[in-house]
Amino acid sequence: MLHVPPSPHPRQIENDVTAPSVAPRPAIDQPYLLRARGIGKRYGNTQALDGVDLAIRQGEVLGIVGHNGAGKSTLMKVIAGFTPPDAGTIEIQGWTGEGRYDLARARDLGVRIAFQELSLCPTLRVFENVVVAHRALAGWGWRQRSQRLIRMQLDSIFPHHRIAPRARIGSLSLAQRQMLEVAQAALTSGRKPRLLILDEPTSALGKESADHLFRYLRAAITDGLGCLLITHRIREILENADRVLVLRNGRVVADRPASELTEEEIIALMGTTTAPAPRGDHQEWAGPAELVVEATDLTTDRLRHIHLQARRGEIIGLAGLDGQGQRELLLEIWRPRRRLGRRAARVSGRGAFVTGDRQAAGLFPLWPVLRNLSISSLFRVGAHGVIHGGKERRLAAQWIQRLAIKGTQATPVVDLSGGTQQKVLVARALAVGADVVLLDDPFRGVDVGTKREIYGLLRDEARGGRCFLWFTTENLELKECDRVYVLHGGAVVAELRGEEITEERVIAASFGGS
Amino acid sequence: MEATRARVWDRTGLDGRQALADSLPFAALLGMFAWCVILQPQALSIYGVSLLFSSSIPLVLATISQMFIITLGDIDLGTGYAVGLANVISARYLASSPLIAIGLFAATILGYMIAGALVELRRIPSIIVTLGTSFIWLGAALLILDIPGGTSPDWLAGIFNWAPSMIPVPFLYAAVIAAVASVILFRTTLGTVLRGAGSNPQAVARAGWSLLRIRMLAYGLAGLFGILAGLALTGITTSGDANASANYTLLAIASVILGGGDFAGGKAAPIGGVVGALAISLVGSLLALLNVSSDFQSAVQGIILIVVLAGRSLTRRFEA
Repeated sequence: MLHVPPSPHPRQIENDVTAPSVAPRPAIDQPYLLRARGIGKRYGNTQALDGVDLAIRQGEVLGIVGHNGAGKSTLMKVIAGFTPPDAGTIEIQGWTGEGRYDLARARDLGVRIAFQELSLCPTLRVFENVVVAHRALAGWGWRQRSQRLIRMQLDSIFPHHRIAPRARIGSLSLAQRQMLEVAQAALTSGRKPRLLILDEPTSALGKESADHLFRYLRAAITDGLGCLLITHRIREILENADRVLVLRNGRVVADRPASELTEEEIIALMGTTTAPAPRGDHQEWAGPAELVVEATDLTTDRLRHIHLQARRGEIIGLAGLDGQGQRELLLEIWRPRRRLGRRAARVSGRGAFVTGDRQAAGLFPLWPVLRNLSISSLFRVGAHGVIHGGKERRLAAQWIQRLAIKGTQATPVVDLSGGTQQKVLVARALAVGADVVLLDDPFRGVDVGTKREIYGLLRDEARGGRCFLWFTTENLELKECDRVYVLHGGAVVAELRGEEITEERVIAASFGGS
Repeated sequence: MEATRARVWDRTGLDGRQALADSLPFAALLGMFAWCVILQPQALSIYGVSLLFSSSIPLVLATISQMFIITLGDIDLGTGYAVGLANVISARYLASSPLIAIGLFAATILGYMIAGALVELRRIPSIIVTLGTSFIWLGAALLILDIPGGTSPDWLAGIFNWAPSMIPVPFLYAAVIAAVASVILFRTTLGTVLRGAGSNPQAVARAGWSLLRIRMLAYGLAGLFGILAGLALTGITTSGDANASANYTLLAIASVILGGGDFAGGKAAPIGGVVGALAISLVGSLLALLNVSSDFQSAVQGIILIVVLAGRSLTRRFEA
């Protein structure tokens, strides 16, 4: 049974049975690896970064937190050399300061970055992608060399990765791709990595893999490796970082040792004002408890004998380890397929779907917020096949306000931050006026403040009679649900209600027990 | 579950479902060939096979040329006329003044590389750039030889006249071409980076590779294989004709897709493409055996292409 360490002093993890005995970290007067001063960056009308100072020493883990749009990704891009800053200077160990600080120079100096938006080529095999990412491996015998190195690197960070070096990247799961991304960044080819930038490295990983990653990091930093860790999971930062840098609206609002901060303090510094509403507070839907989704003995090639019921006003969670059939169940309910001799899921009323894969299945990148939001609701804003522009704009304005979406209707959706884009997708689904809204883990990688705003909104909508069917890999989110179905191997292994929904019970059930 | 699937199928790099999709060009070739044999049993002999496939090699080479460009996610509308240009250059100059021929070939390859640079630097879609180059190739070819004529040097004709009794020579040549293309695309770093650039160009650029150089090199290779296709055509027909290979463009594209390539880029299937080219080149012979009037040849060719490519899109569901 995994023990979840309590805040506010997560360093005292004496009871954590998963932490090995760790060598004491080097003293915090190691030389500086990188110092960035006064970094400024402007994109069109937006000042993405304004006077940002960042310094990281050898052997240090610096956690970077902030809302979506606070400037974290931009800052990382500047440090990795992808984009030059408009203002400010960068000093990095081993560089005289001559010439430009660009991608090639950053790589030469040992700066490695593992992205949130994965930088893998889906049609290549694993070892082929590694040689593309590491030019130094090219040359005679590159295939064997590449396979050997990536296998070793994956084994050293993620012991149970089950990624064959000859596997096609397109066939790997999202978690495996993330593991590969991190391993590829950490790989030594020629120049040893000296600064590892991890941008949301655990957003697709399960708990076990995330633990492995941090264990690897703790060992690697004793060698002098520095690490910039961006994650929305504040607990991860508190447990693994030495210092925390809090960004808000492109500026640094705090740069303090992790031991001095608590989760609540960080969230406050990030700038959110919504406090979590305790569960008991919210009112229930007062109308008839009509059955809106029903699956009886639902069996497909991935699902086994699923019995599921969802009523008006309920928020139903789908939990369990990733890949146990939750997504398939959602898709089956979204598009019930008639099968010979088998019952399909039954949905009464209109449905809407919020995808978690916004790049591939959610956003229309060429369009502004207005069109992205109204696309599912065109039937409501038009007549006889013609869209009524005014109605469309009013609908969009209503939902932009409701979800506090930062930006105007005309803003190109690609200019928004990830969390805001996700809000647009949620607004799209809600604007339809659907009776059932299906959520496919859409809040992964979204900042805490945005998430809490959306949770509040979901509760309001549920009170108004909407039903939500919510697949999430973030166990804490399940607390927002009235009932949770835990899936394992395509079957329901546990159904938890109300007070029974705790992280421990969900985790226990996820492994097949109940 | 997905991890298990990856482990079982990819331990050796083999993928059961992918294999099914990969077999489509072979099935097409076998099907066409079987049909030919039914109509003309004498086709089932070394001599018969050699005759049926005697004029396949230019299409095979043109397919590889197109393959380099499709792997990048681009398309080359000028393949046919480039083959025609190389055909007339070699028919007019190769026998009498080889240095001029080589100079012109080099200019063609340079032209291809400039086209690639234009696509990369100015972000002009390749379909537009190569539409332009197709007219340049045709125009140049007509300048060199405006009516069919010319001759083939003996050594070139000799390559395609070689008919040992034990092996069907076209298959041998096709196998060699497929092997060379496979080595370039899968064994070298360049080929791998090329496929990566077709799949995720930002990742490749961020890793420090120059997309400009990659594109120019890929287009240069396409030009080289286009020239080889033209040479092969000269060797087979022993004459030059600027317009004879006009339909090679679409046939080469079809062969690449039939073989497993993808317009989106990143996927290269040289063996499948070569086999696909052999299958498609049979269509002409098949129609002759069926006594279909040559008026209908294009239409029937088109129908067969649609059927075959529909088969490809069905098997795409099985691919990783």
